[in-house]
Amino acid sequence: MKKETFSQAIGLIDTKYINEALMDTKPTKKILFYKKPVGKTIIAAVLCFLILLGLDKFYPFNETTVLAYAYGTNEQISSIGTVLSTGKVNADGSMTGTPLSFYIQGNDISTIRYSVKNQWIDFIDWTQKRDEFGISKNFTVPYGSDESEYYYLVVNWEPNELWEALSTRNISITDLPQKLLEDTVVLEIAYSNGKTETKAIKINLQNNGDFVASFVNYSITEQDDFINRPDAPYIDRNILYKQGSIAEKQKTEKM
Amino acid sequence: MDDSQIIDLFFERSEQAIIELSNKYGKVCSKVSLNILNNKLDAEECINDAYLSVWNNIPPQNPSPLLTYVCRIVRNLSIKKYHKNTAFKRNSYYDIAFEELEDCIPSLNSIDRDYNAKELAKIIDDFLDTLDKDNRVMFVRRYWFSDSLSELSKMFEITEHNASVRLSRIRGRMKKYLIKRGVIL
Repeated sequence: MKKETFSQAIGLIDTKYINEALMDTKPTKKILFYKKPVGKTIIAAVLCFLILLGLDKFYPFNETTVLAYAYGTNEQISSIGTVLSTGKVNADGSMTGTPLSFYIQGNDISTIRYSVKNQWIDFIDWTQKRDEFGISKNFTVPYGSDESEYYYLVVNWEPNELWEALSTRNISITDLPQKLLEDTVVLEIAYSNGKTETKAIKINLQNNGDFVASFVNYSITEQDDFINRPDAPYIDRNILYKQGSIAEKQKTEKM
Repeated sequence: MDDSQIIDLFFERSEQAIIELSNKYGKVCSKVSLNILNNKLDAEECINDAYLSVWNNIPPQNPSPLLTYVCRIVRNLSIKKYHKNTAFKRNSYYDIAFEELEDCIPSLNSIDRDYNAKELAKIIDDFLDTLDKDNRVMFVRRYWFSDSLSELSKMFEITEHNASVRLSRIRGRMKKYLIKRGVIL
Protein backbone atom coordinates (compact mmCIF):
# COMPACT_ATOMS: atom_id res chain seq x y z
CA MET A 1 0.00 0.00 0.00
CA LYS A 2 1.32 3.35 -0.97
CA LYS A 3 1.88 6.07 1.56
CA GLU A 4 -0.20 8.34 -0.60
CA THR A 5 -3.18 6.02 -0.23
CA PHE A 6 -2.85 6.18 3.51
CA SER A 7 -2.51 9.94 3.43
CA GLN A 8 -5.53 10.09 1.17
CA ALA A 9 -7.44 7.84 3.54
CA ILE A 10 -6.71 10.16 6.46
CA GLY A 11 -7.99 12.97 4.27
CA LEU A 12 -11.21 11.06 3.63
CA ILE A 13 -12.20 10.45 7.22
CA ASP A 14 -15.74 11.31 8.12
CA THR A 15 -16.65 14.99 8.17
CA LYS A 16 -17.97 14.68 11.72
CA TYR A 17 -14.44 14.07 13.04
CA ILE A 18 -13.04 17.06 11.21
CA ASN A 19 -15.91 19.16 12.39
CA GLU A 20 -15.39 17.94 15.95
CA ALA A 21 -11.70 18.84 15.74
CA LEU A 22 -12.55 22.25 14.36
CA MET A 23 -15.25 23.11 16.83
CA ASP A 24 -14.19 21.41 19.96
CA THR A 25 -10.54 21.91 20.62
CA LYS A 26 -10.91 22.60 24.30
CA PRO A 27 -9.79 19.60 26.32
CA THR A 28 -12.49 17.82 28.18
CA LYS A 29 -12.28 18.89 31.76
CA LYS A 30 -11.63 15.94 33.98
CA ILE A 31 -14.56 15.46 36.29
CA LEU A 32 -13.19 15.27 39.76
CA PHE A 33 -14.04 12.16 41.70
CA TYR A 34 -16.07 14.04 44.28
CA LYS A 35 -18.15 15.66 41.54
CA LYS A 36 -19.14 12.40 39.90
CA PRO A 37 -22.44 10.86 41.05
CA VAL A 38 -20.65 7.73 42.19
CA GLY A 39 -18.09 9.83 44.05
CA LYS A 40 -20.84 11.80 45.73
CA THR A 41 -22.54 8.58 46.78
CA ILE A 42 -19.36 7.13 48.19
CA ILE A 43 -18.55 10.32 50.08
CA ALA A 44 -22.10 10.46 51.46
CA ALA A 45 -21.84 6.83 52.56
CA VAL A 46 -18.50 7.43 54.25
CA LEU A 47 -19.85 10.51 55.99
CA CYS A 48 -22.89 8.59 57.21
CA PHE A 49 -20.63 5.86 58.46
CA LEU A 50 -18.42 8.34 60.27
CA ILE A 51 -21.44 10.06 61.78
CA LEU A 52 -22.80 6.74 62.98
CA LEU A 53 -19.39 5.88 64.32
CA GLY A 54 -19.30 9.20 66.13
CA LEU A 55 -22.79 8.68 67.50
CA ASP A 56 -21.89 5.24 68.62
CA LYS A 57 -18.89 6.61 70.46
CA PHE A 58 -20.38 9.72 71.96
CA TYR A 59 -24.11 9.24 72.13
CA PRO A 60 -24.89 8.52 75.77
CA PHE A 61 -27.45 5.79 75.10
CA ASN A 62 -24.97 3.81 73.09
CA GLU A 63 -22.09 4.44 75.38
CA THR A 64 -20.35 1.31 76.42
CA THR A 65 -17.65 2.88 78.55
CA VAL A 66 -17.76 2.04 82.19
CA LEU A 67 -15.78 3.40 85.07
CA ALA A 68 -14.66 1.74 88.27
CA TYR A 69 -14.56 3.45 91.65
CA ALA A 70 -13.18 2.46 95.00
CA TYR A 71 -16.09 1.96 97.34
CA GLY A 72 -15.86 4.15 100.40
CA THR A 73 -13.56 6.80 98.98
CA ASN A 74 -15.30 7.03 95.56
CA GLU A 75 -11.89 7.41 94.04
CA GLN A 76 -11.85 6.50 90.38
CA ILE A 77 -9.62 3.60 89.50
CA SER A 78 -7.74 4.94 86.53
CA SER A 79 -6.15 3.09 83.67
CA ILE A 80 -2.66 4.20 84.66
CA GLY A 81 -3.03 3.05 88.24
CA THR A 82 -4.50 4.38 91.43
CA VAL A 83 -2.95 3.88 94.85
CA LEU A 84 -5.70 2.47 97.01
CA SER A 85 -6.09 4.28 100.29
CA THR A 86 -8.60 1.91 101.86
CA GLY A 87 -6.09 -0.70 102.91
CA LYS A 88 -2.42 -1.56 102.96
CA VAL A 89 0.19 -3.95 104.27
CA ASN A 90 2.17 -2.49 107.13
CA ALA A 91 5.92 -2.78 107.59
CA ASP A 92 5.49 -5.53 110.16
CA GLY A 93 3.39 -7.58 107.74
CA SER A 94 0.11 -6.78 109.45
CA MET A 95 -2.82 -5.53 107.37
CA THR A 96 -4.91 -2.41 107.69
CA GLY A 97 -8.38 -1.95 106.15
CA THR A 98 -9.68 -3.54 102.99
CA PRO A 99 -7.44 -3.08 100.01
CA LEU A 100 -10.11 -2.98 97.34
CA SER A 101 -13.87 -2.74 97.30
CA PHE A 102 -15.22 -1.30 94.12
CA TYR A 103 -18.33 -0.51 92.17
CA ILE A 104 -18.96 0.11 88.50
CA GLN A 105 -20.63 3.10 86.89
CA GLY A 106 -21.97 3.02 83.36
CA ASN A 107 -25.08 3.04 81.21
CA ASP A 108 -27.60 0.30 80.54
CA ILE A 109 -25.48 -2.52 81.85
CA SER A 110 -27.30 -5.80 81.70
CA THR A 111 -24.87 -8.06 83.53
CA ILE A 112 -21.26 -8.21 84.58
CA ARG A 113 -19.51 -11.47 85.06
CA TYR A 114 -16.60 -11.20 87.45
CA SER A 115 -13.67 -13.61 87.41
CA VAL A 116 -10.63 -13.32 89.62
CA LYS A 117 -7.33 -14.87 88.71
CA ASN A 118 -5.40 -15.53 91.92
CA GLN A 119 -7.31 -14.43 95.01
CA TRP A 120 -11.01 -14.23 95.84
CA ILE A 121 -13.92 -11.88 95.39
CA ASP A 122 -17.39 -11.50 96.89
CA PHE A 123 -20.40 -9.41 96.03
CA ILE A 124 -22.76 -7.37 98.15
CA ASP A 125 -25.90 -5.69 96.88
CA TRP A 126 -26.74 -2.94 99.33
CA THR A 127 -30.15 -2.54 97.69
CA GLN A 128 -30.80 -6.16 98.69
CA LYS A 129 -32.55 -6.80 95.40
CA ARG A 130 -30.04 -9.19 93.88
CA ASP A 131 -28.57 -12.47 94.90
CA GLU A 132 -25.25 -12.03 96.61
CA PHE A 133 -22.09 -14.08 96.41
CA GLY A 134 -19.76 -15.05 99.19
CA ILE A 135 -16.04 -15.65 98.80
CA SER A 136 -15.71 -17.10 95.36
CA LYS A 137 -13.81 -16.94 92.10
CA ASN A 138 -16.47 -16.28 89.47
CA PHE A 139 -19.99 -14.91 89.53
CA THR A 140 -22.39 -12.93 87.42
CA VAL A 141 -24.19 -9.89 88.72
CA PRO A 142 -27.35 -8.56 87.06
CA TYR A 143 -27.30 -4.76 86.89
CA GLY A 144 -30.46 -3.58 85.11
CA SER A 145 -31.70 -0.30 83.78
CA ASP A 146 -31.74 1.60 87.07
CA GLU A 147 -28.27 3.09 86.97
CA SER A 148 -28.70 4.71 90.37
CA GLU A 149 -28.38 1.25 91.90
CA TYR A 150 -24.98 0.57 90.40
CA TYR A 151 -23.29 2.43 93.22
CA TYR A 152 -24.64 -0.11 95.69
CA LEU A 153 -23.39 -3.14 93.84
CA VAL A 154 -20.06 -3.67 95.51
CA VAL A 155 -17.43 -6.23 94.72
CA ASN A 156 -14.77 -6.89 97.34
CA TRP A 157 -11.40 -8.25 96.47
CA GLU A 158 -10.36 -10.70 99.14
CA PRO A 159 -6.64 -11.56 99.05
CA ASN A 160 -6.92 -14.39 101.53
CA GLU A 161 -3.81 -16.24 100.36
CA LEU A 162 -1.83 -13.05 100.67
CA TRP A 163 -2.98 -12.46 104.23
CA GLU A 164 -2.19 -16.03 105.10
CA ALA A 165 1.29 -15.81 103.65
CA LEU A 166 2.03 -12.57 105.43
CA SER A 167 0.60 -13.51 108.79
CA THR A 168 0.94 -17.26 109.18
CA ARG A 169 4.09 -17.89 107.22
CA ASN A 170 5.66 -14.64 108.28
CA ILE A 171 7.01 -13.76 104.84
CA SER A 172 7.97 -10.21 103.91
CA ILE A 173 6.53 -8.54 100.80
CA THR A 174 9.76 -8.83 98.86
CA ASP A 175 9.81 -12.57 99.41
CA LEU A 176 6.26 -13.12 98.21
CA PRO A 177 5.77 -15.10 95.02
CA GLN A 178 4.57 -13.11 92.01
CA LYS A 179 1.20 -14.81 92.15
CA LEU A 180 0.53 -13.21 95.52
CA LEU A 181 1.86 -9.79 94.52
CA GLU A 182 -0.55 -9.28 91.68
CA ASP A 183 -4.05 -10.21 90.68
CA THR A 184 -6.57 -9.59 87.95
CA VAL A 185 -10.32 -9.27 88.19
CA VAL A 186 -11.86 -9.62 84.74
CA LEU A 187 -15.22 -8.00 84.05
CA GLU A 188 -17.22 -9.38 81.11
CA ILE A 189 -19.78 -6.66 80.62
CA ALA A 190 -23.00 -7.18 78.67
CA TYR A 191 -25.12 -4.14 77.83
CA SER A 192 -28.85 -4.10 77.31
CA ASN A 193 -28.32 -3.08 73.66
CA GLY A 194 -26.51 -6.37 73.07
CA LYS A 195 -23.02 -4.94 73.05
CA THR A 196 -20.29 -6.45 75.16
CA GLU A 197 -16.88 -5.44 76.35
CA THR A 198 -14.24 -6.83 78.61
CA LYS A 199 -12.42 -4.85 81.25
CA ALA A 200 -10.11 -5.78 84.05
CA ILE A 201 -8.98 -4.42 87.34
CA LYS A 202 -5.34 -5.20 87.83
CA ILE A 203 -4.06 -5.11 91.38
CA ASN A 204 -0.42 -4.92 92.44
CA LEU A 205 1.11 -4.94 95.87
CA GLN A 206 4.02 -2.53 96.05
CA ASN A 207 7.11 -3.10 98.18
CA ASN A 208 6.01 -0.30 100.49
CA GLY A 209 2.78 -2.14 101.21
CA ASP A 210 0.51 0.00 99.05
CA PHE A 211 -1.93 -1.57 96.68
CA VAL A 212 -2.18 -0.06 93.23
CA ALA A 213 -5.16 -0.84 91.02
CA SER A 214 -5.75 0.01 87.39
CA PHE A 215 -8.91 -0.32 85.34
CA VAL A 216 -8.06 -1.32 81.78
CA ASN A 217 -9.45 -2.88 78.62
CA TYR A 218 -8.84 -6.59 78.54
CA SER A 219 -8.70 -9.32 75.91
CA ILE A 220 -9.37 -12.79 77.13
CA THR A 221 -6.79 -15.27 75.87
CA GLU A 222 -6.56 -19.04 75.89
CA GLN A 223 -4.27 -18.83 78.89
CA ASP A 224 -7.00 -17.24 80.96
CA ASP A 225 -8.32 -20.51 82.36
CA PHE A 226 -9.72 -18.76 85.39
CA ILE A 227 -12.42 -17.22 83.18
CA ASN A 228 -13.77 -20.67 82.34
CA ARG A 229 -14.47 -21.65 85.89
CA PRO A 230 -18.18 -22.01 86.55
CA ASP A 231 -20.02 -19.31 88.42
CA ALA A 232 -20.27 -19.74 92.16
CA PRO A 233 -23.75 -20.35 93.58
CA TYR A 234 -25.34 -17.32 95.18
CA ILE A 235 -25.97 -17.20 98.87
CA ASP A 236 -29.41 -18.34 99.87
CA ARG A 237 -31.38 -15.25 100.86
CA ASN A 238 -32.89 -17.13 103.80
CA ILE A 239 -29.42 -17.58 105.21
CA LEU A 240 -28.31 -14.11 104.27
CA TYR A 241 -31.24 -12.31 105.79
CA LYS A 242 -32.34 -14.84 108.42
CA GLN A 243 -31.97 -12.30 111.19
CA GLY A 244 -34.16 -9.90 109.20
CA SER A 245 -32.95 -6.99 107.19
CA ILE A 246 -34.74 -3.69 106.80
CA ALA A 247 -35.95 -4.70 103.38
CA GLU A 248 -37.20 -8.02 104.61
CA LYS A 249 -38.95 -6.35 107.52
CA GLN A 250 -40.63 -3.87 105.21
CA LYS A 251 -41.66 -6.73 102.98
CA THR A 252 -43.15 -8.63 105.92
CA GLU A 253 -44.95 -5.55 107.22
CA LYS A 254 -46.55 -4.96 103.83
CA MET A 255 -47.78 -8.53 103.73
CA MET B 1 -22.45 36.09 8.99
CA ASP B 2 -24.06 32.67 9.39
CA ASP B 3 -22.93 29.77 7.22
CA SER B 4 -26.43 29.55 5.78
CA GLN B 5 -26.27 33.21 4.70
CA ILE B 6 -22.92 32.64 3.00
CA ILE B 7 -24.32 29.61 1.21
CA ASP B 8 -27.31 31.68 0.16
CA LEU B 9 -24.90 34.14 -1.43
CA PHE B 10 -23.27 31.28 -3.32
CA PHE B 11 -26.68 30.17 -4.51
CA GLU B 12 -27.38 33.73 -5.62
CA ARG B 13 -24.07 33.60 -7.47
CA SER B 14 -22.93 36.69 -5.60
CA GLU B 15 -19.18 37.24 -5.51
CA GLN B 16 -19.72 38.59 -2.02
CA ALA B 17 -19.96 34.92 -1.04
CA ILE B 18 -16.20 34.44 -1.59
CA ILE B 19 -15.42 37.60 0.41
CA GLU B 20 -17.59 36.49 3.31
CA LEU B 21 -16.16 32.97 3.17
CA SER B 22 -12.64 34.38 3.20
CA ASN B 23 -13.46 36.79 6.04
CA LYS B 24 -14.93 34.06 8.14
CA TYR B 25 -12.74 31.05 7.41
CA GLY B 26 -9.71 32.42 5.62
CA LYS B 27 -7.51 32.18 8.66
CA VAL B 28 -8.37 28.56 9.36
CA CYS B 29 -7.93 27.59 5.72
CA SER B 30 -4.63 29.38 5.59
CA LYS B 31 -3.40 27.48 8.62
CA VAL B 32 -4.46 24.10 7.21
CA SER B 33 -2.65 24.80 3.98
CA LEU B 34 0.44 26.30 5.59
CA ASN B 35 0.82 23.29 7.85
CA ILE B 36 1.09 21.12 4.76
CA LEU B 37 2.99 23.32 2.39
CA ASN B 38 5.03 25.50 4.71
CA ASN B 39 4.95 28.13 2.01
CA LYS B 40 2.79 31.22 2.14
CA LEU B 41 2.47 31.72 -1.61
CA ASP B 42 1.64 28.10 -2.28
CA ALA B 43 -0.85 28.16 0.56
CA GLU B 44 -2.55 31.30 -0.81
CA GLU B 45 -2.75 29.67 -4.22
CA CYS B 46 -4.34 26.56 -2.75
CA ILE B 47 -6.84 28.61 -0.77
CA ASN B 48 -7.85 30.58 -3.83
CA ASP B 49 -8.23 27.31 -5.75
CA ALA B 50 -10.33 26.02 -2.89
CA TYR B 51 -12.61 29.08 -3.00
CA LEU B 52 -13.01 28.55 -6.73
CA SER B 53 -13.86 24.92 -6.09
CA VAL B 54 -16.47 25.96 -3.53
CA TRP B 55 -17.87 28.48 -6.02
CA ASN B 56 -18.15 25.73 -8.63
CA ASN B 57 -19.76 23.21 -6.31
CA ILE B 58 -22.27 25.41 -4.47
CA PRO B 59 -24.81 25.08 -5.92
CA PRO B 60 -25.81 22.33 -6.39
CA GLN B 61 -24.10 21.24 -3.13
CA ASN B 62 -25.33 22.68 0.14
CA PRO B 63 -22.65 21.62 2.63
CA SER B 64 -23.12 21.63 6.33
CA PRO B 65 -20.99 22.47 8.13
CA LEU B 66 -19.38 24.81 5.66
CA LEU B 67 -16.04 25.15 7.40
CA THR B 68 -15.33 21.42 7.34
CA TYR B 69 -16.26 21.32 3.69
CA VAL B 70 -13.88 24.16 2.80
CA CYS B 71 -11.10 22.78 4.97
CA ARG B 72 -11.35 19.43 3.27
CA ILE B 73 -10.97 21.06 -0.13
CA VAL B 74 -8.06 23.18 1.09
CA ARG B 75 -6.33 20.15 2.52
CA ASN B 76 -6.78 18.05 -0.60
CA LEU B 77 -5.51 20.80 -2.84
CA SER B 78 -2.60 21.49 -0.50
CA ILE B 79 -1.56 17.84 -0.48
CA LYS B 80 -1.78 17.72 -4.25
CA LYS B 81 0.38 20.79 -4.40
CA TYR B 82 2.74 19.30 -1.88
CA HIS B 83 3.23 16.17 -3.97
CA LYS B 84 3.61 18.24 -7.08
CA ASN B 85 6.24 20.70 -6.05
CA THR B 86 7.86 19.58 -2.83
CA ALA B 87 8.94 16.08 -3.67
CA PHE B 88 12.53 16.88 -2.74
CA LYS B 89 12.04 19.17 0.21
CA ARG B 90 10.42 17.73 3.22
CA ASN B 91 10.17 20.34 5.86
CA SER B 92 6.50 20.97 6.60
CA TYR B 93 4.40 19.95 9.61
CA TYR B 94 2.65 17.60 7.24
CA ASP B 95 5.94 15.79 6.59
CA ILE B 96 6.65 15.44 10.26
CA ALA B 97 3.14 14.32 11.12
CA PHE B 98 3.00 11.89 8.25
CA GLU B 99 6.37 10.39 9.10
CA GLU B 100 4.98 9.55 12.52
CA LEU B 101 2.24 7.57 10.83
CA GLU B 102 4.63 5.53 8.73
CA ASP B 103 4.79 2.83 11.37
CA CYS B 104 1.08 2.30 10.95
CA ILE B 105 1.18 2.04 7.19
CA PRO B 106 0.88 -1.52 5.89
CA SER B 107 4.04 -2.73 4.27
CA LEU B 108 3.98 -3.50 0.59
CA ASN B 109 4.74 -7.19 0.93
CA SER B 110 2.59 -7.91 3.93
CA ILE B 111 -0.85 -7.71 2.43
CA ASP B 112 -2.53 -9.49 -0.38
CA ARG B 113 -5.02 -6.97 -1.42
CA ASP B 114 -4.60 -3.32 -1.97
CA TYR B 115 -6.94 -1.20 0.06
CA ASN B 116 -8.20 1.86 -1.68
CA ALA B 117 -8.28 5.13 0.18
CA LYS B 118 -12.02 5.01 0.75
CA GLU B 119 -11.92 1.55 2.31
CA LEU B 120 -9.05 2.55 4.53
CA ALA B 121 -10.80 5.77 5.50
CA LYS B 122 -13.78 3.74 6.65
CA ILE B 123 -11.52 1.62 8.85
CA ILE B 124 -9.84 4.73 10.26
CA ASP B 125 -13.32 6.14 10.95
CA ASP B 126 -14.14 2.99 12.90
CA PHE B 127 -10.89 3.32 14.80
CA LEU B 128 -11.62 6.95 15.65
CA ASP B 129 -14.92 5.83 17.10
CA THR B 130 -13.01 3.72 19.62
CA LEU B 131 -11.12 6.75 20.95
CA ASP B 132 -12.33 9.13 23.59
CA LYS B 133 -13.09 12.64 22.42
CA ASP B 134 -9.83 14.26 23.51
CA ASN B 135 -7.69 11.63 21.84
CA ARG B 136 -9.81 11.67 18.72
CA VAL B 137 -9.60 15.44 18.38
CA MET B 138 -5.87 15.31 19.02
CA PHE B 139 -5.41 12.65 16.34
CA VAL B 140 -7.41 14.59 13.76
CA ARG B 141 -5.70 17.85 14.64
CA ARG B 142 -2.32 16.22 14.19
CA TYR B 143 -2.86 14.04 11.13
CA TRP B 144 -5.61 15.83 9.28
CA PHE B 145 -4.81 19.44 10.10
CA SER B 146 -1.08 18.72 10.54
CA ASP B 147 -0.96 20.83 13.69
CA SER B 148 2.44 21.00 15.36
CA LEU B 149 3.10 19.53 18.80
CA SER B 150 3.51 23.04 20.11
CA GLU B 151 0.04 24.00 18.85
CA LEU B 152 -1.46 20.82 20.27
CA SER B 153 0.16 21.40 23.64
CA LYS B 154 -1.44 24.85 23.81
CA MET B 155 -4.77 23.57 22.55
CA PHE B 156 -4.93 20.74 25.07
CA GLU B 157 -3.18 22.58 27.89
CA ILE B 158 -0.50 19.94 28.18
CA THR B 159 3.23 19.83 27.57
CA GLU B 160 4.65 19.04 24.14
CA HIS B 161 6.14 15.89 25.56
CA ASN B 162 2.79 14.86 26.91
CA ALA B 163 1.18 15.51 23.53
CA SER B 164 3.87 13.47 21.84
CA VAL B 165 3.40 10.56 24.24
CA ARG B 166 -0.36 10.63 23.82
CA LEU B 167 -0.07 10.63 20.04
CA SER B 168 2.40 7.79 20.19
CA ARG B 169 -0.07 5.74 22.22
CA ILE B 170 -2.88 6.55 19.80
CA ARG B 171 -0.71 5.41 16.90
CA GLY B 172 0.08 2.21 18.77
CA ARG B 173 -3.60 1.59 19.23
CA MET B 174 -4.29 2.35 15.58
CA LYS B 175 -1.64 -0.10 14.46
CA LYS B 176 -3.21 -2.83 16.59
CA TYR B 177 -6.62 -1.91 15.24
CA LEU B 178 -5.46 -2.07 11.63
CA ILE B 179 -3.85 -5.47 12.25
CA LYS B 180 -7.10 -6.67 13.80
CA ARG B 181 -9.03 -5.48 10.77
CA GLY B 182 -6.62 -7.32 8.46
CA VAL B 183 -5.00 -4.22 7.00
CA ILE B 184 -1.63 -5.21 8.36
CA LEU B 185 -0.76 -8.88 8.61
